[in-house]
Amino acid sequence: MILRRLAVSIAMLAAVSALIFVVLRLLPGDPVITRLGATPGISPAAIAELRKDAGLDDPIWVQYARWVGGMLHGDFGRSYFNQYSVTQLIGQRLPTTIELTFLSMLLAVVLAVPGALLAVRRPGGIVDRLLTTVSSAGMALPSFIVGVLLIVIFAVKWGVLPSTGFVPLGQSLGGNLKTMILPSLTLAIAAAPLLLRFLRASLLEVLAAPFIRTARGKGASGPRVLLAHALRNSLTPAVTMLGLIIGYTLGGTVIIENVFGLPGLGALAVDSVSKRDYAVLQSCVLLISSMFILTTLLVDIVTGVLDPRLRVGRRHG
Amino acid sequence: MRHRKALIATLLSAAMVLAACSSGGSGGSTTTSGGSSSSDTANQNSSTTPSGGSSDTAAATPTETPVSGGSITVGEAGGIPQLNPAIRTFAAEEILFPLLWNGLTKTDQDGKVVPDLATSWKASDDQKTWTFTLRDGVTFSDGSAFTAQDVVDTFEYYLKPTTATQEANKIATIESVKATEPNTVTFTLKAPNALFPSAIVWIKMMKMSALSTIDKDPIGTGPFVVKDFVPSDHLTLVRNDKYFGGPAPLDQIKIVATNDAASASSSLASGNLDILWALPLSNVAQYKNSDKISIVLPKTPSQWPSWEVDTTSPPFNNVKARQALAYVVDRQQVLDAAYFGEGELSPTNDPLGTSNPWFSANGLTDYSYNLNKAKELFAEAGVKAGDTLTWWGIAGSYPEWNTSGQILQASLRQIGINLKIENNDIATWVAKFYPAGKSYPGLIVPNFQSTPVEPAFSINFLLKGRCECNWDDANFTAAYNKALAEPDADKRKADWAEVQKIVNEQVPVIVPLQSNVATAVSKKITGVWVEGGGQLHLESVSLTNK
Repeated sequence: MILRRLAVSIAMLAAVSALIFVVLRLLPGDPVITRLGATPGISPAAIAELRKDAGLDDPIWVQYARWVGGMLHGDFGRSYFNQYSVTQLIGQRLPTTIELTFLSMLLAVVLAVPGALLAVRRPGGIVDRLLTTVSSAGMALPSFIVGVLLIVIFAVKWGVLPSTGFVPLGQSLGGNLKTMILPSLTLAIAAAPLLLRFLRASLLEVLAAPFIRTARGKGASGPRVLLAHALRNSLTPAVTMLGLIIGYTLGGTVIIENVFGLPGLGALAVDSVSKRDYAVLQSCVLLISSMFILTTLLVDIVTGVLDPRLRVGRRHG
Repeated sequence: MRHRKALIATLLSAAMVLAACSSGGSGGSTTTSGGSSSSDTANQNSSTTPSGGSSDTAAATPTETPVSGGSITVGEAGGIPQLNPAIRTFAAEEILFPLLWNGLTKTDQDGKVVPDLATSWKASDDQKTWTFTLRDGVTFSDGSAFTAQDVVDTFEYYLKPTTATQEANKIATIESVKATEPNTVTFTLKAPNALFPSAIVWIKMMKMSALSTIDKDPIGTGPFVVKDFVPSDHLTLVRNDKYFGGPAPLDQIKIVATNDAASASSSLASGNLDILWALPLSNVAQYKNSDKISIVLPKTPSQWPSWEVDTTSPPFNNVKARQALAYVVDRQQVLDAAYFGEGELSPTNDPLGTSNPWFSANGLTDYSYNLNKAKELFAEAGVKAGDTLTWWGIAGSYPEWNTSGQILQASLRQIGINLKIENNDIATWVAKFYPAGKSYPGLIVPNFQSTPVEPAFSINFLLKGRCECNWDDANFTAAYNKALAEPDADKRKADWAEVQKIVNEQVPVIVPLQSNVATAVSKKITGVWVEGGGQLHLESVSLTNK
């Protein structure tokens, strides 16, 4: 089962890699021309020579085979703009993106789960309506606006948190968290409403089910019904949703890393697409896709653990 | 079925990342190489400055006492992708020039060319042999001695055709460079160049044996060395204790890419940034009365928008069409609305600004906004009402270009000509007209040149094979070479006046104005100055006791 999933995942990655490889090369411009940045007085012969050195004059399938062949040996290529290998460039930035995604998901869960529980205590009540309105606003506001708003409030007005200036985790835990709070909160403000609304709907559905009536009839207390029965049964679809939100948040890091000046994978991808730094961008997209695939795989495993029916099914199947 | 869904989801997520990338890349961030900073030394030999003098710098005027030590954070919008000074493309890389490297000569705050690694130099009478005497006791940051052979090696590297350096134009006339004595280097030129010490200001001396690791461990002779570097994100520099010029005042300078203009502005307000270089011109006014931030501007702006047209294909192969275009530009409105008043008008369409000491208005046609003349000249060139021209700009970055295009569009509409505005991402934009020699009929391509005040290294952009306008004018080339060979400043001023006349009459490119490059600087800092072309100087920056 796992092996089959893995094989399918690899096939998906191969499709993504071919797609990104071709699409990038269909765009006008190339890294050599961008690198020259309209430097005057460079002869076409010199440009041809630079293209040849960069391996850009080979047929596209040869270039693709070279890239894939390299990856199989752990060589993801080099940037056209400096002496760093793609592995080094990504290595410098991957930890930030993973930390940012993790922290924003943690914050989103911390905001959404109690929110949804509060909302379903009295559906249509004041708390519920307030949360629905606030979460609509959270979903409607673009992340870069929220980011700038948070900067204005926490960094400019109150001066309690920095607006820029990343501190690596290895250097100082406190310093690192200080620089990560605002960007994580920005992403969480976009993600939490989705999760809250989904969890709320799914809780309401579960609360209307006969077994909840049974539990209540057996004398279980309100909080116990909500937490042990309703929440537990709503978690399976919510975790699936969380998986999708993680994918969505990974996309959101692209913008937020730029707003907060974080050295992450998203900022690297943005930079490399504008420079047509093929090798770097291809690997960034492939990596982000792999992270997405891995997340869906994990979600499947976790839902299996959470949902007894799936567990039973598996045992018997 | 489930797997197929996952495949679609994966492809979608990849597409989303791409979409986000491309919108981010071309929207909001002023990345990369929009303008070719074609020849960007600022340099005027004190003995060759014409009467009137020149300075293209503006120093922050300190009233506080500088203190030693401390660190500052500098924001810039483009990001620094690499450290090799020879192949720099992205304007922000130039911030590193005075910090990590030295040339044989350098420009001081008054725009004069002064000794750097060379202590003196002299030219032969025919201006074709130049001999430089090197400073004693200079070491590279790795402790090894700097020698005449290092000069030869560096120049040979810059001169290789595949080095693709922006300095190529300025040093193209070098025939040979030799270490004639342990501390003497002699250059032989193919053609006379009275301004050779100015031409090599930005040839930075590198330890060539360390070239293969220059992005990780650059070895130069400057006042700072690299502590850590994440390409296109940040660069941390610390003081070089082996620097021959004595210790720099600051302990550390951190240069960070601020890709989002709004958050960069907030970071400046919150004190997370001490300096913000090349801030959007729309933001300059807000700091003019600030008690925390001052704006540092070049005294003689010599960054100029250059709207290029293909002078070898219709309609702009006809000089009348180019003159018509010069007349149809409402320069005042472009300056006010697109550049927020930050710059000087160029009514004579001159690459030299009116405050440039080499500027000469004598005999130049005034191309101030005149729709009747434009209409008449366009008609003579065969451009009729109903015809369409195209503005080929960049989306997202350089908002001043787009506003300029809209102003031009409105003016052209009044005489019945349409202007289609097409904005693309930078790589698409550049591929259409670069390198020189490409045909792009009917396109008007906004760009900018970041040049020194010295005409030799700003007007040289118009020489054949350099300007993408594909202009080739024998009279211009002859007049340019004559000026370049003239050692006497006053005579040379007359020669440059002739060159300006030819450019004024032929209109190879449209130059609506000279624009400012504004730098926001915290009032806690002193010693920041900016060259006319916009290059930021931080080498003598220190914190104050304020």
